[in-house]
Formats: sequence, C-alpha cells, structure tokens
Amino acid sequence: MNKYGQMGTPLSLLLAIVIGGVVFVFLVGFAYKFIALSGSLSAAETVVALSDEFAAFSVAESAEKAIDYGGEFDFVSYEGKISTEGQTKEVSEIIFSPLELKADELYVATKSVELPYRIGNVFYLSDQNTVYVLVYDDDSEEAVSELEDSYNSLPRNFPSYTFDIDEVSSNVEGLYELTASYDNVRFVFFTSYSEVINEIAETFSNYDVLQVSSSEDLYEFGIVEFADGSEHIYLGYPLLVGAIVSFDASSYSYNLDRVLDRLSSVTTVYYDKSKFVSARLPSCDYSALKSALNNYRSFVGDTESYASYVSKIENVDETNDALGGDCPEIF
Amino acid sequence: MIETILVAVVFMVVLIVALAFYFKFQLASIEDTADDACLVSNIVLLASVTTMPEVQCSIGGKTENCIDTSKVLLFDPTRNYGSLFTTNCDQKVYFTQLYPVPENNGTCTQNDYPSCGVYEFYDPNVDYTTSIKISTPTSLYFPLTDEYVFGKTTIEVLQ
Repeated sequence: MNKYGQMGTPLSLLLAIVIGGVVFVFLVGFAYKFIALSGSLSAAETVVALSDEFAAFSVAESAEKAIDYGGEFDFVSYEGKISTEGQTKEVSEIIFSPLELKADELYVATKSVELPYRIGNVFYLSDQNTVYVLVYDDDSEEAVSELEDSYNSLPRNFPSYTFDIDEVSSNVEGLYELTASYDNVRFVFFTSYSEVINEIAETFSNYDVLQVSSSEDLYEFGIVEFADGSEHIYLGYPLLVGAIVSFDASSYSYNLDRVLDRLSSVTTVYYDKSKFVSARLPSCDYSALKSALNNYRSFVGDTESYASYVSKIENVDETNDALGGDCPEIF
Repeated sequence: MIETILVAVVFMVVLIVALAFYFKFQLASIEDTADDACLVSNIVLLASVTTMPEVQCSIGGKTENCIDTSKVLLFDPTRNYGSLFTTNCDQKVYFTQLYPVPENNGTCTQNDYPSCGVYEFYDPNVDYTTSIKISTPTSLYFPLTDEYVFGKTTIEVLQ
C-alpha cells in the first residue's frame, strides 16, 4: 500500500457505507411504498367489484344474498360512497346500511320502489352485527307482521325479532340475553315506548331507538323518528326498511333525497310520455292523467307530508287505470 | 476513491434504469387491470341498463323485460344524466332496431319516430380513440301501436 492507498481506503470505505446506506434506505422506502400501492390497488378492486355486484343485483325486483370475501372485510358505506383502506368509490345505487361493515360475509338485499310506478331499486347491507327488534301493539301488529313475513319483509338474512310491547315490558332481561351476541341492538317501536325505555336504558349498553308512526292501517307510509329526535317521512315499505337499517337520520335523509330525485326524474318521463302519446292519439283524452302527473311532478321533493304523497299517488294510479283499449296506459 | 465513485455511479444508473423499466411495466399492468375492470363493469351494465325505469317498459302497472322506445326518445333531451353511469370509464349506450328493418337507420328524433333505427340513451360527448362494442338482444316496445320488435342494446366502451 502506498500513502495514497492508506489515506484512500478509509475514505472509500466511508463513501461505500454512505452510498450503501442511501441505497438501502431507498430500497426499504420503495418496498413500503410498493406494499401501500398493492393495498390501494386491492382496495380499489374490492370497491369496484362491490359496485358491480350492486349493479348486477339491481336486475332483480326483490332479492337477497350473502357475499363471502374469503376473509374479513372492513369498509365504510355512507351517503352514496363505499370506502376501504383509503379508496373511495361513488356508487349510483341507493344503499341503506350501518356506517361500518366488518365481518367475513356481507349480506345484501334489494327491493324495487314503486310510487306507483317503479322508480328503481334500493339496497340494504348488513354484517349481522346489529339486530333489529320490532315492537308492536294491537294497532300495529298487522304492519309488523307484514315486515316479518311477506314480500315487503325485512331481508331474511338480517337478524331480527318481533315482540308485543307487553312481552318487552315484562321481560327486558330475557330480551337482553336473546340479543347478547350482537354488537348493537336497534329497537323499532311501532307504538309508544315510554313505559319500557328506562328499563331498556338500564339493561342494554349498545342500543338505539327508532319510532315509527303512521295514520295508515298498514303503516305503508308514515314518519320515522330517529334516536337524535329528528323526524323523516317514508314512502312505502322499501323506504321503511331503509330507515330501520340506516346508520343515522342523516344517512337516511340523504338516501330519501336520492329516491325523490329518481321519482322526479321518472315522473317527468311519464309526464312527457303522456303529452307525446296524447299528441299522437288525438282521439284519446289524456288530460286528467297529464294534470295528475304534472301535479305529482311539481310536488315531488316535498319531505314534510307523507299524506300528500298518498293522495297524489292514488290519483295518478286511478287516472292511469281508467285508460286502456285504443288509448294505451302511460305506465 | 475514484473507482469507488465510478462503481457507485454505474450502480445507481443501473438501478435507476431497472426501476424505470419496472415502473413502466407496473403502470402497464395497472392500466390492463383497470381496462379489464372497466369491461367487466360495462358487461354488468349491459344487463342492468335495460331494467332502468327511465327506459324499461311498464304496461298496465307491471314492468316488462323490454325497452319502451317512447321513453328513450323523451327522456331528458339534454342527455345530462351521467350520475346513472358510474363505471370507471366512459361509454355510449343506445338501442337499435334490427327486425323488421326500419325505413331509415338514422338516430331517432320525435319527427321521424317510429321510422328510425337507433335510439340514443347516453352519450358523454368525450373524445376517444378506440371503442369496444358489447351488445345483447333486446325487445323494443312501441306504445302507440302496442307492438314489439327485435333489437339490441349496445354499450360502446370508449378508450
């Protein structure tokens, strides 16, 4: 070794260590970024696949199924968006669900909304971590029976129980044991609950209450009061089920607005069709239906009175039914 | 000393070139995955678009598996309803009458209805270089005459 070599060796070694360190840090950083990228791609594929599932499912007028992800999934569904691991996708479908869904299987159900004509499907999601307890009295027993076992029922793969208010008041402890395996209990009262709410509050740690009221015999249209005290109308059983399944009043209200947007859009189509058919078939009298559809179209969007919807829907339905033969119905 | 720096420089150049190639192929792979996902979404859309209430037949209060041509013709002439189509890529959607062969094959308007061949449902009006067409047989309904004809639903995936 010469003197340059003796001086250069430690410098070279130092330089090699510095360069090696930089390269090492760069590669480790790259590896972490790659893991994050892979996670993001996987999450993006998941939300796109889920969105496709909804689109494919919307062909059915009423259906239920379970989606097995082959491992635990964890995503958030809120106000028309599905998010998982930082990836968010806006979906065109109207989805009622808890805020966070976390389980091995996702339970999906869909129902067609008809007011009085079909305006599209709404979707319901569950991870079976919330159980729905429907409580009725003599006046609402038939309505709850409709929600328990009929075409309009709560999705059968969503955990639920129905009880008479007297059964609840006499056995809150038994109800607690029955629902103890669920993370959250949602009580849906179709009657006054002032007599039992204190005992429920003392017994249950994770629960909330929804109250349904209606002047209709079968509660097909009415008002739901959420846990925060806010009240919203519902139009038909699909929206009542939506309110029962919704995370909170805000998410229900958002979806109600979307349903009313679709109703407005479809009603405009039928109103335009009635004008078009009327012009092409001058021998037919479509004036009553045109007027009914125009009134309905102008009213849609109001979220104060469900009774007004009932009367307008009946009027549109009756005037359409009065047509037929050489004067085709509009819907 | 100089040799060490040269080796380090060569190593860094080789690393950067290798990473550039890697990112290029990775990007191509991601684009392929996105294209595949887009095509799958549109195949699903092809099945579901015919059940959209804005175009689906509703006769005597009951929905039927056909397209009401008058509804397509009248539905939102601004064609401003992209919120119904939330796939990750753009597409055109239209319905075509196949049999009986229409008097003209042009796009339908209220003036030439029903003697026309193509009912446009959705066109995002975007620039594109190529497109992939997917289609499925569809029954087209004419409410004025209460007639059904044979047609197809086409989705043109724009790329």
